[in-house]
Amino acid sequence: MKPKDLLSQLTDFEKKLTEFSFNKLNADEAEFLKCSFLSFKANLLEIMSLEKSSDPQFVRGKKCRSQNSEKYALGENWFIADSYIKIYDEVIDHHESYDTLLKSLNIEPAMKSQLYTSTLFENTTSTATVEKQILNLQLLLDDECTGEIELLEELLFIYERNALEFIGMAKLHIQNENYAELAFVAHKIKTGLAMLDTNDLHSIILQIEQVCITDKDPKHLQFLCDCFAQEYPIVKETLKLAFDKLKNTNDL
Amino acid sequence: MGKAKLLLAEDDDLLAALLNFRLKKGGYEVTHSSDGKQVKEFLSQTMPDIIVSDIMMPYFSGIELISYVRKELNSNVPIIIISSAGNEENVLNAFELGANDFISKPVNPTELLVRVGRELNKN
Repeated sequence: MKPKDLLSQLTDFEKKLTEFSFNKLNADEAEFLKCSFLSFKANLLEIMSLEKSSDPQFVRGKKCRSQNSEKYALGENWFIADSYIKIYDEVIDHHESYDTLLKSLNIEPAMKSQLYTSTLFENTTSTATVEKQILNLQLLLDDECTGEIELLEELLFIYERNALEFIGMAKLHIQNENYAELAFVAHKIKTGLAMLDTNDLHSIILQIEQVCITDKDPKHLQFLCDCFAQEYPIVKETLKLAFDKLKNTNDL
Repeated sequence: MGKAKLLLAEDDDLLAALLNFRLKKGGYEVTHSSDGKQVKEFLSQTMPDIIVSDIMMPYFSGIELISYVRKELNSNVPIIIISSAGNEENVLNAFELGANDFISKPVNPTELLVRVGRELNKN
């Protein structure tokens, strides 16, 4: 990427960062910030590599302030680097705010790790996940459904209906700040989530139920409900694939 | 001898579908109600041989149900309560009001069948 193109991209990015508001933080925005940061960092490192800068302090970024930029061997492009560094510092500050925010929301470590590595929002279902779900469904079929595949199919249908109902009701209850009702609908759905071993969704629901009882923070609840809504289609797809494979195996 | 009549009061459709299936397969005539209003209406017309009820239900909780059956309907019908983990206070309350047994979630249908059978044999 040419310095001019990068500068143009950075200008857009800076504008978006300025518009970014943590008051409106939801899962999409948090993900956007993180992706933007990683993209920016990669570009910065690339241009630094082109300029053959070898000072290790430069890549640490946070300690690298604009007034020190002339220290670095960036030749005639130093003024561009100066802009990069300013924005890089801003991005890191924003990123740290994001980190602090996540900590303040008491996000479980496993979930936080998922947010950072972006797997929570990855819209794919891995073979390993499907295989694991097939085993879970097989156990449910054998132990609870006494081998009746139609019953398992009915349970999956009810599961999907309940999840969609929860997403709709949660939105309504957050709008109305009715946390008792939100806790109730969360309580209602959690047995089914546990029964089908959909642990990510179950973990989110437990947190929603807990927050409804304790601090009743609408931003936190909105964030958790957004996480549920983002994760549900992936879980649904995994269950569908697992059930289809299981059904085919049982039909043979 | 006819099938024993069982009232299943559970608002979680998923769990209710599973328990309904297993209890029917276990030889019971099951009536399912998903909220307290339906339960009250049903009980005002007929008394089952046994009641299996969730504690947390809309309009009329499992606790209120026990109180209604024991005090207002003056019935000794066996009542088994379904409770979530961490709901121990409600379970104690349920026993004080006259519940016969309880089973915690996640419910193992086989265990529930054993408990239902045991309560019916006592009577």
